[in-house]
Amino acid sequence: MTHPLLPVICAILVALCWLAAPVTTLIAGRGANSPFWSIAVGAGAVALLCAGIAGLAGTTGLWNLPYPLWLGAARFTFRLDALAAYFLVVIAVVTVPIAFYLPAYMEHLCRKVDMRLFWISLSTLLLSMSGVVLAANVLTFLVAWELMSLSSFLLVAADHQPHANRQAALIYLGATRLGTAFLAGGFLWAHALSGSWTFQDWHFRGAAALGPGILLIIGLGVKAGMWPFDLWLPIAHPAAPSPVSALMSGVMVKVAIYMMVRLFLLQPAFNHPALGYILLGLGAISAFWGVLFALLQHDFKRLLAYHTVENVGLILIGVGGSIAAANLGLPVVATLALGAALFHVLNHALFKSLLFLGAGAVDFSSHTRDLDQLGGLGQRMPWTFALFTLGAAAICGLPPLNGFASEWMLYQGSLHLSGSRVIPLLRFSGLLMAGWIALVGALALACFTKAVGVVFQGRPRSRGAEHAKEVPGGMLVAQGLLAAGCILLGLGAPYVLRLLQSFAIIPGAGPHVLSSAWTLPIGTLAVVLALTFAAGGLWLSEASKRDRVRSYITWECGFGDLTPRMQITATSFVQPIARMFGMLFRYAVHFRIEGTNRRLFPETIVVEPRTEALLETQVYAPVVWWVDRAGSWIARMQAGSIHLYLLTMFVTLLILLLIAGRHP
Amino acid sequence: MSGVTGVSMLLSVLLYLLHIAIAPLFLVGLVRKGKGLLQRRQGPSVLQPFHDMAKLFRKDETVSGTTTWAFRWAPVIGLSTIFSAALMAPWIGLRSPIPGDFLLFVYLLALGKFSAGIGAMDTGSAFGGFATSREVAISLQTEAAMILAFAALAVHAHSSSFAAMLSPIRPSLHVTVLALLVVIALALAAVAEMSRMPVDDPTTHLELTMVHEALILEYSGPSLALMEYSTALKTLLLLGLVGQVALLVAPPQSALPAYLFSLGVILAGAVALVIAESTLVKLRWRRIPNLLSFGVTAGVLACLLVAVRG
Repeated sequence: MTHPLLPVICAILVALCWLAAPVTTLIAGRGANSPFWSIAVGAGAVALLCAGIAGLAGTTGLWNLPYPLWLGAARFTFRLDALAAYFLVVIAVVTVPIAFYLPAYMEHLCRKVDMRLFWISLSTLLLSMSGVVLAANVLTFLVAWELMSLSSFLLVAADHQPHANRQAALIYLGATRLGTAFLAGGFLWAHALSGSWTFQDWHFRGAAALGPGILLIIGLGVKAGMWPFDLWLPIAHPAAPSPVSALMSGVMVKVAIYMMVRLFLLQPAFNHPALGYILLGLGAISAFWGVLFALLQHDFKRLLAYHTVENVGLILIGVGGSIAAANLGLPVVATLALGAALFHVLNHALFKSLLFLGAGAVDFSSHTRDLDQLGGLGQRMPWTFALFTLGAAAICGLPPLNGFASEWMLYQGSLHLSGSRVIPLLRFSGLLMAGWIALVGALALACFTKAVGVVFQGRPRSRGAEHAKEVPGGMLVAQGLLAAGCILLGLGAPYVLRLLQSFAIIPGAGPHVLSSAWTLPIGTLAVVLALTFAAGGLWLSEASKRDRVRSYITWECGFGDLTPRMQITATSFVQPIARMFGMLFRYAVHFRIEGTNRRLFPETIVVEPRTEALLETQVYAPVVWWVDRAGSWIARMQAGSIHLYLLTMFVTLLILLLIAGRHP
Repeated sequence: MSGVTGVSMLLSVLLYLLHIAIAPLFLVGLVRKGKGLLQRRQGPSVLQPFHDMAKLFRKDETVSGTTTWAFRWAPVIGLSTIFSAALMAPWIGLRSPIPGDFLLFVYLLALGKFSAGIGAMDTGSAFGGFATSREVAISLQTEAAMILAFAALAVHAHSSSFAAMLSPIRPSLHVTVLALLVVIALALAAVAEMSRMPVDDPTTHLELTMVHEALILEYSGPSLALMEYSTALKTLLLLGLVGQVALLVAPPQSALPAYLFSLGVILAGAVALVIAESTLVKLRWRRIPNLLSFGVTAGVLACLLVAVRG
């Protein structure tokens, strides 16, 4: 327990730091990029971290903004409890490294991006994410949520010179509008049923919870990147500058997950088992879908963005499974699944930010994100290479890093479900879920072996990659901090679980479910690995000292030197897997051979594998086409003719009267 | 009493270390000798792998100028993951020195695969690239099969730790069928993990038909020795684990028979390898998923059995 005013003081500090940036940028010029703003962002994040730690230590509270800061007659209300504090910590631990990263990284964007707009949007995004987490009523939530959507839209559009970025920003804007529409619908429905706008007053059970619950799941799912609403995420996240991609993928999607946990799980506002099954099913599909499409990508950052879909899927498996299990009367399973989901939220925030910052560093020094243009960066950027590889190992769930710890908890949840007294179908599903997570994990391993291998290893495939240099120190410090977090959380998993079980307990489960479920000898493993690594390191250095290692070329079968084009490409690396799952995205290889005597002396040979996502071409494309058609048809009404407008008004009035007239 | 357990614990640790040190190369020698005999050749001496290893350790190393630390460290990381895994699984029928669980075991193997993969990609050679691509494609099914099969046992034993999963249970038809399905799933996964026929040919010299051999193509001298040793240890470990599951059908009652039975089962596995490698041909690359899918199916069936019978 800390002093009850500590969070308020922290909040004021946070607000001061994060508002200082936008206010002072207005004085500065368009290309302003001084470390001052980064320091302000970092200091605000440290203050936020303090608030989060205070909240986790047991300080809770409910605050209303004083009178002039109302919105009409409605109040802004904020509430801090342990769950909110945990997510504040997630926001803060990603923002601090990003503050180290920003000054050097934004140097190369200064001329392309309006820096005043950038700093204003970034501060607004950070403030509004914290606002969403702390919101206690619908109004506060929606205002913060909209600010979050709009500021991140501005950040996606920051570098709006390339056409692709403008398009990405537009698609993202459309997605946020769709999400907010569903959210507003869900909240209005809940208000109509309960007469209250405060989340704490909502206690819907049974059928009443289902309707608004589903609308809210869709609204939040769009933001979280849940399948089938994940379409925008891999387009929008990579378009933003890398630190922003890290914030969006690492933190912003988690804010949507926070709302799901808050509304459906811990003291649930909406409680219905079907909501759990929906989240579980969509989460399982998202996990697989995300990693499968990540495999097929050529754009470095887009690949990472698809992995966000995968990891959100894993988290949703935990959240959905927890809701379902709580309704089945299995509090232990529910607590395990919830603990796994919340732990994975923090872990994913760390390693996904690390990977995005690594991708940003690659983009920064080789000026391309195309996997087929990269290669050989390991020799040129050794630190970025090492840190990225560590992040890749963490996201693949390899021990003893943090990704393994949370995936292990997720496995424990599904195994406990199968071991409990429920109907055989559910027990079987629990076991199949374990196999499913294993498949997703193996696919992630394939994808990151490809990413590391093609980007950092072998020989450079372009001049940009050839002349790449290690990035400035600040960017390395940022990645180093996040990598250290990945190691610490992996080795210190029992402590994280002890922290989580102070608030993430489903009623009915014992107080020590999470920490007693942790039976892994991770400490012993770490000692064994450290000893063998040390022995190996000694041996390696000894071998090179005694001049027993000769440097030569890679074996070329005696045919003369290899060229970079002879290396495996990102496309051919995944060909075996793409063929295995070909029915999901229509995998086809097209050959084109041309020339006057094309049989014996072909002049051009083009081999091009094509993949087509059936969801996009068969479902979304027709929908977009119809919306477009309907839009242009409706646009005809806006022809500037006063008669047409009067007619529209008259018809509307008539319809309203007809509806209203039926209810006396 | 605690003194007795302390002594037996120490004994078990020593036994594990002894087996890890000697048995893998001995197993390789046995398999080679067996293949020779079955093909009406004299075959190399059983101790030949020891000589090979000693020779490799005396040699200097050639390293490609394209590589980074990843290439040099991959053999070390690979060996230390397999070594840790070998200390965590009760593959010789005695309590393992470190109480491991099956998820940690499978993911440690995955860590070894990851390090070997980035080691191979490091050279910029097409062989390494294609080998890595194939290795990770194969591991999709092997990992799923192993997790499903072990998960069925874990749910049956209400614990994911190897000690509980592989401790003797009262034999019944139910247990027999379960063990059989798990053995099928694990054995098929193990064949792929060990890079053995019919998934991979450890003796071929056509680089593009191989998986594992192309993966370690650029290694020479002591690093190659470490790679070879890791593969041998992994083979031994997986055979031992499959053997432990098979022993669930007729569990031995005390420590000494358990140990001897386990060695016998490993030997039987080696004989099976010899027969398979002498009579089967390597499958075409495109047919391998079909073979491994039997393993996944057996794993799913084992899960179904556990789910229905409890």
